[in-house]
Amino acid sequence: MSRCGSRDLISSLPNEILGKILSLLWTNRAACTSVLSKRWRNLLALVDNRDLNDASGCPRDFCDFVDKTLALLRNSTTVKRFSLNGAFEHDASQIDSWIHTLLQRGFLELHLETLRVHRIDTEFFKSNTLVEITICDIGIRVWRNVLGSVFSCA
Amino acid sequence: MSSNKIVLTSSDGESFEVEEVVARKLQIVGHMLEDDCVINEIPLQNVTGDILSMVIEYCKTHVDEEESEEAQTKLKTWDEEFMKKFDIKTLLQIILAANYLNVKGLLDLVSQTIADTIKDYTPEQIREVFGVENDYTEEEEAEVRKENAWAFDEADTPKP
Repeated sequence: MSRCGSRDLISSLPNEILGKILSLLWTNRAACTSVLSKRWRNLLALVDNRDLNDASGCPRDFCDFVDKTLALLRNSTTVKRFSLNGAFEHDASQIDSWIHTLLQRGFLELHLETLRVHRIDTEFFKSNTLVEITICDIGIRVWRNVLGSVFSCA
Repeated sequence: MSSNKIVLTSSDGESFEVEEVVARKLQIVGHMLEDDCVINEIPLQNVTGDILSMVIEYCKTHVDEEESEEAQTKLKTWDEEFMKKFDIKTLLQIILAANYLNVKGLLDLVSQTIADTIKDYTPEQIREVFGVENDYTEEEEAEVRKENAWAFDEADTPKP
């Protein structure tokens, strides 16, 4: 791919376009762009799709990243889709706490994949926003359903 | 569908006569036509003629979006070839134009093309290819890397 030339056109794109582009990347790749320049420092907040997969990187760094991401999402309505894929043995209570936090956020789509099976109380499915949820353990899909039809009456 | 012609004029005064169905693919034009159905010439202030001509080429190709799998595959191939024609600077100008003119399909297509370019690059390569100037001090950059440590971990650490 040829170079763009000296003028930094990509950094001058409006936030909504940069957010759209970064939403198409794996979240770790999108987060890497924060180091490009100050303009890119907080653009992750505009990304509407979070895809966190611990297949790359160190498990402890992954846990830190998930914790920080969930803390930052507390007041955010930007994120529509969240995928959490934990292939390593993490502390079970920590994963439970992530799952409960995630279920309480206003996502449209949530995908959870963990090494061990986690119990989720049905009261967490009274979400008004969730349209689709997928829960898997590694390799085996235990359960999948489209909410609304099933859980609106939960 | 009406075969009415609409003239679109770019910021540098270049005019393009297109079918109304093509012009309506530019949602900004579609809204103007709904507000006043007698318009037949539309000035577009934020896009130059060379970029507008490419947007129109995209809209002409996508004017009949057929549902059939064969038609979809053909369009997808055309999209890929279309994107290959442009350097990064032009792609960035097209994405700005697609955003301003509100051509969703083109905005999605160029966004994906740029994301595909970025995804395999290190931050240093992105800076070089896109001409991004690093205005962090060394300390600030180290701080950002620390905050997002997981994102900067090597991709080839042990997998389960």
